[in-house]
Amino acid sequence: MTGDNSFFIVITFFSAAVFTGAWIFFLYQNNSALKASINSLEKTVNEIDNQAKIIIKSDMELKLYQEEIEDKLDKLTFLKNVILSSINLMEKDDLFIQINEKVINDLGFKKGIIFNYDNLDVKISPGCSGEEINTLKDFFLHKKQALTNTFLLSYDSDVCSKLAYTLGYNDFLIAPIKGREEIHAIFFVANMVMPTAIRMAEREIFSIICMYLGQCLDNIHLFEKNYLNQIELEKRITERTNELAKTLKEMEGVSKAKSDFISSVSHELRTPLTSVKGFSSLLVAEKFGTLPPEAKLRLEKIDLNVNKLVEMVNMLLDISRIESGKTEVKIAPADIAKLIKDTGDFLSPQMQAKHIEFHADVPNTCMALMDKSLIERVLINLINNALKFTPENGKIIVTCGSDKDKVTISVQDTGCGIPAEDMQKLFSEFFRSQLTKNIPGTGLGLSLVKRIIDTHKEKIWVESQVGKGTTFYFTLKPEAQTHV
Amino acid sequence: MEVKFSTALSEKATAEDAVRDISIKIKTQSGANIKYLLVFFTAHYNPVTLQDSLNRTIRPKNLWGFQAPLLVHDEKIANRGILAIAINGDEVQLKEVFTKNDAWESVEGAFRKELKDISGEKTFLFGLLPMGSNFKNYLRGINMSLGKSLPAVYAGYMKKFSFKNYVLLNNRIDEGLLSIAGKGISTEHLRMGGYVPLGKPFTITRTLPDHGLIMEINNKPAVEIYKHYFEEKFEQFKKSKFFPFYPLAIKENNTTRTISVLDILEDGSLACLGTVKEGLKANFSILHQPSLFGSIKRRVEPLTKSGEGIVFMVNSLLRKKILMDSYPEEIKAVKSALGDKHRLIGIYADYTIFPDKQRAELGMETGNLLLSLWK
Repeated sequence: MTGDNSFFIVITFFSAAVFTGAWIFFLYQNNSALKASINSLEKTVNEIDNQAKIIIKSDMELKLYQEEIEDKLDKLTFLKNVILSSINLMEKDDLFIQINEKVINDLGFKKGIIFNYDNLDVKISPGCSGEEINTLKDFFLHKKQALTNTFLLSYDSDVCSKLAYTLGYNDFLIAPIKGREEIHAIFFVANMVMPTAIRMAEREIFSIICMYLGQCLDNIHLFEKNYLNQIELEKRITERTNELAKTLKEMEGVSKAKSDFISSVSHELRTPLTSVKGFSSLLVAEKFGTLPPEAKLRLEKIDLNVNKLVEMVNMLLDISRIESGKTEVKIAPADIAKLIKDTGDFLSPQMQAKHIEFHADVPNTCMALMDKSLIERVLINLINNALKFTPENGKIIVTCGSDKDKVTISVQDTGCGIPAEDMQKLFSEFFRSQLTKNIPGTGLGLSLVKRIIDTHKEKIWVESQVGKGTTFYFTLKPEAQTHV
Repeated sequence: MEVKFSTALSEKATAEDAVRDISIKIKTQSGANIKYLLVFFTAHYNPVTLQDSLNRTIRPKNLWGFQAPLLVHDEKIANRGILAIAINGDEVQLKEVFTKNDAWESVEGAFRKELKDISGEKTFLFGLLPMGSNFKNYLRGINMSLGKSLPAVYAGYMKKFSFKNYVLLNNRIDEGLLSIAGKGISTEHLRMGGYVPLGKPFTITRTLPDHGLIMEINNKPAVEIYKHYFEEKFEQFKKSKFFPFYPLAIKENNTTRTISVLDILEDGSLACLGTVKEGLKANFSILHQPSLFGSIKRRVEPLTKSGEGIVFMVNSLLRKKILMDSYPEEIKAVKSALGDKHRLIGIYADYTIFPDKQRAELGMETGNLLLSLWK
């Protein structure tokens, strides 16, 4: 090896070293730039990925809210449908039939059972096996007291842990169907339709349905109770109505017999009385010769009593005719005001004899619908009564007022009045008040008056104060626009 | 002779009144002879009365009816009503395939028996799968009997919308799975999502495609991806079962499709609607209304150029929930894009099954809108 060669080798080596160094330097410079680019790119991608995370998470939140709203709407629709299909049910079993497979599905479950609380009878059990029913019956037989103080039990309730193990699943809910005063039934649902755990929404809707069913059952019980009461009441009313109808029939029979009797007796009495009256009048008038004074006095008493007897028989005949419907009632428009005045005039001699002041406080005319001759007898009887029971210097006022529905006539006196205890019997036949025992009368006048007013289908009533006087009122139907 | 469709919607309160209303509208369009009548009705109508009224008033030669929660007719969305589609045409031959259960053997047997000769162009298969039916079994039965190439469209339900799911079968009413299948109607399909990807893309690292499971994402339990995005709100998210609102946007063959997650399993796997292969890139996604409404016209346009007919829509109940008050605007926008030549009719459902041309199999989705042109 020469020195030139050595020099050449050194130079070559040196040049190679310099070149390699320069190349390494060049590569190092470029690699750093590449690394920086890669880093920058990676940073950008990571930023994009982070942005993606934000977008996805926000989107999910939005969807969760949307799901929740839709779920609530679905549940509301479900509730509405359950309520609509059961609100008018009045049979316990009909209500349970409504809780069918579809309702259980809409609650979010595949199967369900409703047990009667008292005897654990199964009311419905869509989707459930006999084994499940028996397991639950056995559970409730020992644990149903646990439902007294709760609204909902699930697998995580202490009392249900063993049940979940026995059933082999834990997606179930149990709730009592509670009324105001008692637990009616027990509702069990299980196995979610959706492959999710039981959510708060299922728990809430199940509780609401159980509460609603409890209210429905309360209503059904109330309805049943009211219905039974109503049936009992109707039964009693029917019995009483039958009894009353029977009594009424008997009374009508008795009344008819009485009327027939009075009528026939009165007829039988009338003929001999007419004869007796005729002869007694002739005797008193001394048509058969002069009578000794004592005989005449007694004959006058006989004649007076015969008159009373004739009057009584006539009244009895009138009453029995009216009662039996033999009296023809001819209702027609007539002027009641004029009739009052005429009756007052007719009775004025008796009033003057007793110094009784009579006032007819009536309009010029007042047209009313009536049988004029019968109403005249009413007025005569009422005014005559007032005249009898009003002491001398007393006052009798007859009024007549009308509105569009009725004409009201009143006969007021300043007589002795009627005690309250006698008011009810006042219109009964032969009734005489203790206060008027000494005043002559048959006790038939007011009875006849009542029957006449009844035939007009109108009302008669009396107001009285003992010692101050009495007012009789009766009504008639008006003829429209009769006042002048 | 081409296929003649006529459609009518009635919202009258009683089945009799609604059928009278529909009868007038249908007969005005199609005349008195109706070969096939497909009816969709909400749970408000008594199926016995409805069937009786339809058979007496419209007298179709074949009558099939399905219950659905929401009906669409052009711009109208009815949550109570009856929607009818009358189908006439010499070439059209439709049959019903009804099974009481979803066991794939029963489904296969029923399809083999009824539809021996169904194949080729203009094949038609449509049906509704009620709540509780196992669509995987059902589709397996169809695949076993007819092969995967059928242009089948199904709408399915995961949640209950009526107490019972009745179907009308000419003079019979039953509960079960009903498909209408046959020849003479060709179909074109369009799916619309409107979902936009969010965040960092991730890799699906372990799946069980046959079971619709995503087990690991980025080599961690799949659930970690949710924990990453929802952070402290993860438990609330899991409890609320909001997974379908945020489908996974999967990139495959230069396109993006959405996969809905139905549940999170105890081991942290994600149960999905549809299948996912390992190694695919994916993103979290969210429905973005402005992008959706902005793209409807452009997306629907190709369908309008595919020919004249009716457009049957299966819209998503989940999508309705996401769009909230603006869900009718989507229908209006679709109708506006379709124009007057294409009548828009349809129903809302929880999920759809459709022919996925790119993957050459039947796809399943929830949260998307499916438009199917029948011509």
